[in-house]
Amino acid sequence: MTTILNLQSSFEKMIDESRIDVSINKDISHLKDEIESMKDDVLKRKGDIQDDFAMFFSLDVQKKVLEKMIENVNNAHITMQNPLVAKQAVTVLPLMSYLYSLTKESLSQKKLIVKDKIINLAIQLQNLSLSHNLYTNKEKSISRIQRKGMKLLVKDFARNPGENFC
Amino acid sequence: MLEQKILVEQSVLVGASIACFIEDVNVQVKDDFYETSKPLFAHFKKRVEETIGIVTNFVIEQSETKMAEIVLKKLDDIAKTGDYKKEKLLESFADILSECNREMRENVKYLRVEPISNEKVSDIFSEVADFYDELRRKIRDLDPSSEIMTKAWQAKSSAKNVGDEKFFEKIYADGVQPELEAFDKLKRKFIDKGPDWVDIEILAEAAYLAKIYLKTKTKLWLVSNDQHFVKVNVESKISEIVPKRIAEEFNVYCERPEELLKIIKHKPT
Repeated sequence: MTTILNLQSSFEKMIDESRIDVSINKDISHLKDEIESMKDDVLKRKGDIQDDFAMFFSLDVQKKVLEKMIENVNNAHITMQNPLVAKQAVTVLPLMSYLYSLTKESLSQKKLIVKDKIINLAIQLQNLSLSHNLYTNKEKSISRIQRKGMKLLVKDFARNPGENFC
Repeated sequence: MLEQKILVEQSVLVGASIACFIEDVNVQVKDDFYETSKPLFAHFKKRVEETIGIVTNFVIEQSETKMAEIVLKKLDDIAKTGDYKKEKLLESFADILSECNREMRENVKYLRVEPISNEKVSDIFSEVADFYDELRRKIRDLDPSSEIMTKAWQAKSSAKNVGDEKFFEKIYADGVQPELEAFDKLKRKFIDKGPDWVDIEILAEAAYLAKIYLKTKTKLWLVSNDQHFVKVNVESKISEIVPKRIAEEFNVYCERPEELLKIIKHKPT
């Protein structure tokens, strides 16, 4: 099983060697699948909706980070960001590892669910990932939401005073 | 005073960041202060190089917590109706929280994060706590009659063409009733509950920054929707006591975003 710590050491090795090994995407994908399966487990729970949301949100943020990580690794040779993508990953993975453990323990009911802490850490992970190009950009995120048949309206006075945009 | 800086308080930062509508579950999550708070950020964005808007790390952290609370509360309310599938709800609300957080980060980009001395703010914290205690006593003993009479006279002068049978009704509706309601709100806000430690910390940070900015003859505004800092409503005379006393004591000028925007748009900053 791929652990976040394994990913961390693989990326550190790539930094030392100044090269990106795309085979790491296989491990990232495994982890992403595991997170997807944990999201399904949350949906099956019959617990408190706010507790379930905290875990679901945390897993959703982690999944989005891993998706962007895969994309960055694939594009590293095109964007000439070698080994920057590895450095970015190494910055974000420790926080993700902590959040992942906390969420997993909460889901397996080994620990009391501290929903505020989980949500807060997930927000911090989103913020850190946004700062290090490891989170879906706004346009992609909105088009993903639309693909799911949803419409997310955010009014932006600065761009379009008095108008809604998606 | 030549220059002005505007310290953004959490109710305004949160207010300007929460406005989402998920069509297929017909869920709207929108802060009550979105319409009045967001235009201020449009102004900051337009004049970003002037760094008019400022914020502190404490306000940002508190805003993130508050934003999550608002989204969770809305989720809870909708889940209780039992109208939607759990999967749809959790997916939609994960997107809402994620996008509102992204929006908050966008808003913060147009503000300068001010460094704060925790030691100095701790000293001011107790001063602010004492100040609020005294203000609570003042509000408890407040006699609203003079403000109500002023508003009633204003209503009377605007009602000169109104027929006699409607005369007193108009004075009551325009002059007396709104002020009595404002007085009631003010008492509830200060006597029943009072400012919490977050309000006190924010005012302490504002007072700390005002001291620094005073050295360069810069006026510090605190923009807020919270009635522990600003008037109960724009027209209320009686609740002027709150921003007035804060300005006298700490040189911090508290105003609502919509009112402050009018002021700064008409004055060069």
